Amino acid sequence: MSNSKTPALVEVLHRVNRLKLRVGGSLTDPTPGQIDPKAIEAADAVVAQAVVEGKERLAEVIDRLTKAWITLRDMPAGAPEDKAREARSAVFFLAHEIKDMAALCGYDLIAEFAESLRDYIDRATLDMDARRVIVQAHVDTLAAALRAGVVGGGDAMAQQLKAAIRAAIEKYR
Amino acid sequence: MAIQQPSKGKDGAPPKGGGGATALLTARPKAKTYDLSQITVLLVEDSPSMQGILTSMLRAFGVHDVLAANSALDAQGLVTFTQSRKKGSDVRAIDIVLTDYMMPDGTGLDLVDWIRSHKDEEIHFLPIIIISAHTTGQIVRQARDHGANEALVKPIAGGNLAARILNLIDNPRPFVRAPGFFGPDRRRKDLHFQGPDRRVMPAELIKVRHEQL
Repeated sequence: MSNSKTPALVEVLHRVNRLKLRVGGSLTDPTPGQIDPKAIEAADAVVAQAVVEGKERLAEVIDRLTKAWITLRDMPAGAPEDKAREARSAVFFLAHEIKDMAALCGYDLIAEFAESLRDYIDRATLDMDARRVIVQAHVDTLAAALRAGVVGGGDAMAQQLKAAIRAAIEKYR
Repeated sequence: MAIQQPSKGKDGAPPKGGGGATALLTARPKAKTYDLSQITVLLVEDSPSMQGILTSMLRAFGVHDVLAANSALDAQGLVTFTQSRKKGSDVRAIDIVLTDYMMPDGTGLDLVDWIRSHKDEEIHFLPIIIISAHTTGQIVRQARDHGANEALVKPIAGGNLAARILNLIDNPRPFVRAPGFFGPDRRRKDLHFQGPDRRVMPAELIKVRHEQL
């Protein structure tokens, strides 16, 4: 603690723990509390249910992604910049959503492709056919993997496909 | 004088209940079960599916009021609205902000920056958990350096979410205001280090304040 004339460089603020009071805890009791273990089980059941419904939800979002990609892909060269940015952003965030949902539901291969698509669309300009083919390959793979119900990281063929797309990305950064 | 370190348990061990999700799944007969029904959580998540899942998980914990925002910008509006209306009205103040990292119209970090630089004290000190789908430590470090209290990596499980909320309740860290930083103390544990402590500062450069109720 300081009361010198030199202005303090660092200030450390110990706040009253209002949150602990709000949840019925005591400021004088240092013992950690808990959230009811049954409530945690119930929360896990929510996740489990989401996983069960995951395939249907993923199909819906992949469908939206496909449509968003077609909009971006077919946009004429002279289209207004904000429209192009909007279409690109839609693909980016749908890929991001697919990644989250797929990871939650154990569709690791789909999550991986969605992440790869999201990162690619974020940095690559789509001024070359080859780059558009890479995006198309991602979109097609996502839909095919879900149709085939590929859970986990996928089989040897999936690994080959991943390697081929990775190589194409390296080539057409 | 060194900046005060987080408290330790016996033998220098970290305080009990500090974090492991697995431990939380085991009932602790003597531990008090917190009642989350009186708190309000602001959930900021652009994905409708994830928003639905997280809302249901919070409700399973007993949280009655979950305010949902689709973007960092929406969240700013909700925070401003609730904090300005709560005096003398039925609108309850936000107790915890749970925000996704990657969203359109501003990231979760933008929201953290906005909150930590807000002039209203009630907003300034809001506890923030940032959720990231990135498994790299970089996002977690960024979240910490921007002033988030906790970081949670997707996919989310009940135990992990509970652990972060319990950490806010049981192990709140003091806030530090330093050149280029404002937020919870970024050092949450002491690691044994052989050598001179370069984090020591002259006492006159540190001001410690304890808030009173």
